[in-house]
Amino acid sequence: MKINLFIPCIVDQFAPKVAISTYKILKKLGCNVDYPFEQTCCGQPAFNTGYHYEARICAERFLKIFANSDYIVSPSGSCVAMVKNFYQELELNPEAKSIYNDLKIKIFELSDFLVNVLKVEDLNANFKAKVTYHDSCHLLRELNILNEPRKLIGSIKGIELIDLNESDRCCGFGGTFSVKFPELSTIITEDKVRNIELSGADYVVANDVSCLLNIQGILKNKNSRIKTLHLAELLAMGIENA
Amino acid sequence: MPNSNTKHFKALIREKLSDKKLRNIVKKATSHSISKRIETINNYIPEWEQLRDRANFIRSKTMQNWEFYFEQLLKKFRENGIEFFYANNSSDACSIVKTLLFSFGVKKVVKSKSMVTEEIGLNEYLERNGFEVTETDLGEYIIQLANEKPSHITAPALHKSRQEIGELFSEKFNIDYTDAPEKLTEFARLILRQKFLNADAGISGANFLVAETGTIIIVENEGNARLSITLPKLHIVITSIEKIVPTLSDALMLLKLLPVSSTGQKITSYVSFIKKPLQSIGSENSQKIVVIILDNGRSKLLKNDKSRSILYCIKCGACMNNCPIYQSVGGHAYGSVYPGPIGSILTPWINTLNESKDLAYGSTLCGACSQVCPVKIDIHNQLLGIRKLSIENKYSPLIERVIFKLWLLSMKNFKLFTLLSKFLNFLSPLFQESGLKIPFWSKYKYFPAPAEISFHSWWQKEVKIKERINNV
Amino acid sequence: MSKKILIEKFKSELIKVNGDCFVFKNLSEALKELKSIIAKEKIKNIAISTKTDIAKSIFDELKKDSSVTIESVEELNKTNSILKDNLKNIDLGISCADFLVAETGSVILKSSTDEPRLLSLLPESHIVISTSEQIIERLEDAVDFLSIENWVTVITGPSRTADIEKVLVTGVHGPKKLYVFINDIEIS
Repeated sequence: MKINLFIPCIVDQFAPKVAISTYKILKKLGCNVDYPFEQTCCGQPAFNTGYHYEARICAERFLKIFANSDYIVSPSGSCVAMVKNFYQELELNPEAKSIYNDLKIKIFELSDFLVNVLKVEDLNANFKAKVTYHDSCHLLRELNILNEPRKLIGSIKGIELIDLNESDRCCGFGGTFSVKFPELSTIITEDKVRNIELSGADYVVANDVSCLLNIQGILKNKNSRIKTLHLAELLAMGIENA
Repeated sequence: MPNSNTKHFKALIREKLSDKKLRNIVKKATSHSISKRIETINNYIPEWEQLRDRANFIRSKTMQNWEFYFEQLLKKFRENGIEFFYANNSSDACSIVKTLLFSFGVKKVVKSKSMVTEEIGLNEYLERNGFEVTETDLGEYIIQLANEKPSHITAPALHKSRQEIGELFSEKFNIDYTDAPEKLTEFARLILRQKFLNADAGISGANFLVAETGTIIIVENEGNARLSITLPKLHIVITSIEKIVPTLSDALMLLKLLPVSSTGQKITSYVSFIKKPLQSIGSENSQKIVVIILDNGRSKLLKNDKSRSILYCIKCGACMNNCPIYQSVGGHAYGSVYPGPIGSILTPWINTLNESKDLAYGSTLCGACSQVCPVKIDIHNQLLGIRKLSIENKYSPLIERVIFKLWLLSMKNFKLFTLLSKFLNFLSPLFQESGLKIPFWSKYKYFPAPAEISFHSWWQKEVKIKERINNV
Repeated sequence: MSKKILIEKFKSELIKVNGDCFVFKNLSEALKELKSIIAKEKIKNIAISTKTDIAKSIFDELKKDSSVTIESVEELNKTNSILKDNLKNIDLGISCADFLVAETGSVILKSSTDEPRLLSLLPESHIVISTSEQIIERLEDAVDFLSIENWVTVITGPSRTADIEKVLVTGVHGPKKLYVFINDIEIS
């Protein structure tokens, strides 16, 4: 069984540690991991802004690169949802369409893959901290992933997982939304940060780098002691500590 | 559409964002509705998701075969002695009402809540034509006194604090200031009771029009709709084409979802089922009921397979209660009659796309709206659909189109992608302290510097080289 | 579900929506409760629909009470006066139910010349007289009735609003109080 890593462009450029952590976790679990090297972007930014032509070109390219994968695993709910759920909205060429029909059931977000495919709920990790978990919108509502990340976090020894008030409320990122409506986006992010601060956690964990960068954008400006952490980073650090 | 001002969405948003008091009121009110809704579903309706599926099925069947049910409804209206008009647009609807009121010698009109009358700008129109029009739903009455527009489809005065309402009453009626909701409500009751008793015509909306029986169903809590449709001799129902349901059973099924989604009530205080005009008693004249069904661009949706679901809406308001955007700015920011997620997808069809396309961009696409919609409208997909149409029509700024062309170029050409990536990595040290400066974003939020080594580079160094060494 | 369970369910649901319910076995029990409500709410003028025998008996008994004036809709209809003028100063309207819905604590009222809509709408207090035979489990169980009748209102608790800061206030335009009297004829 070979796993093809799908590393979203934003992770590639701004949070490579998340990708490295994903790779290390899967390696640790004995998986054969490859990284289709020519991958760039799945097309989500264009698609969400309404640029279906641009999105379709990216999608067709993506599908060609990932054709014949056994599994595709990605540390991003949002980008997996783009491929799995939203590629069908694009008028793909017939070749791409047939690859899509094959791949849409083989693509998984990391926590989904660990818990539901590899059936791993305990990574024997160790990390002493108070954390709280933010449900990223696409992960929760497009992919229906609610408990998997919580199970994985809960299995880490030494960790205290604190419930986040309004954990399923959007962090205010929304891709181009945050650039088109920066003030509005900021207000919503500030609500999220207020709830995170109220939780008393040291770290806020999520499964999407874009949400985390957005939340960090306010935390950092406030000189908050709270750090953002991707689930993959948390698990990888925990494994190293064990 | 006379009552819409969606062109200035961004400016309105900025204005509303600066009003912290407003934000607190809206957030508190919507949170209240959200928790009531969840409480009722969790405690009483374990079959909630199945009900939503069933409701979606009923709505999709009805809208697909709309003409069939419409004909059936008209036949029943004729049999039941209910007069009927189809209005293509707002001005048609308004002039039909005016003609009716004139022919019945009406001077004073009482109105119960109807968003369609907001859509056609009926109040202003009738007042211009010399009629006295009184809104009787407490929220609508407050809004009318304040000379404002509803900011929510089921709670029109949601944006107003009790203090503001207290000041408004004190100023308008020259009474001692009170902000106690009980006292304000009692005061409104006394004033509006006289309006009801003296009214010549009552105008209401409708929640459902049952094709099978011709029944008009009106759902309310205050009793003002019942008074509006009972006391005056002329009752005008103004509603829109999507209110048709095939059977009474279907309507009762949808009624299980509507109040729960709206306020968390299992059923509202009053649900009226009206088939015929009230008959005469003693010296009183018989009542007349006239139904006006407004199209205003909606029939375009009936024929549109991709977007027909917008018409499934039963006007519960759950999507706006649950929308982080609505919660932050309230309904007036949208500038449209129907605010929130459902408004953002309906308005471009009843208004022009070019004028109201920005509404669809005022969403994070978080999907909270679709998750709570009782009839399972794929609201966030419809938002994406409006964005797509807007780009196809080249309504987006030129600079944005150029950016996406360049973006595509760098995403489909791996050499260019790598070059840009290396360039970003090279710049990384410059931004370590300050973070990357992104237009618009960085005014409010920090953005980290690009990584010094991208994952692509790491992979090449760490994995590929090791593999090669291992293979040697 | 047994009648007894349905009555209990109806009662608890109605109380949740700020209404009240009184189960009685005979006329004297009903009158006693009625008089205590009349005293509590300081009721002077009553109008009653005398559609059912029990309502007729109540009417006859209350007529003997000199502290209140009571008129039946039947009588009012015979005079050549306008109904709204007759009812606008009434403190208490007494109606006869067609059905009670246990699931939601709702009363189903058919409007007619004997049971005009305004009777359950204009007075500040509203009492509904019913029997345990009229209880149904869910609103759907009355679908045939709803489809045949021309004017039906489903009433669930008193008139209410939450238009000012979501604060619940009862009695906006309709009755401020709603009492449902159920004659439990199985026991009597």
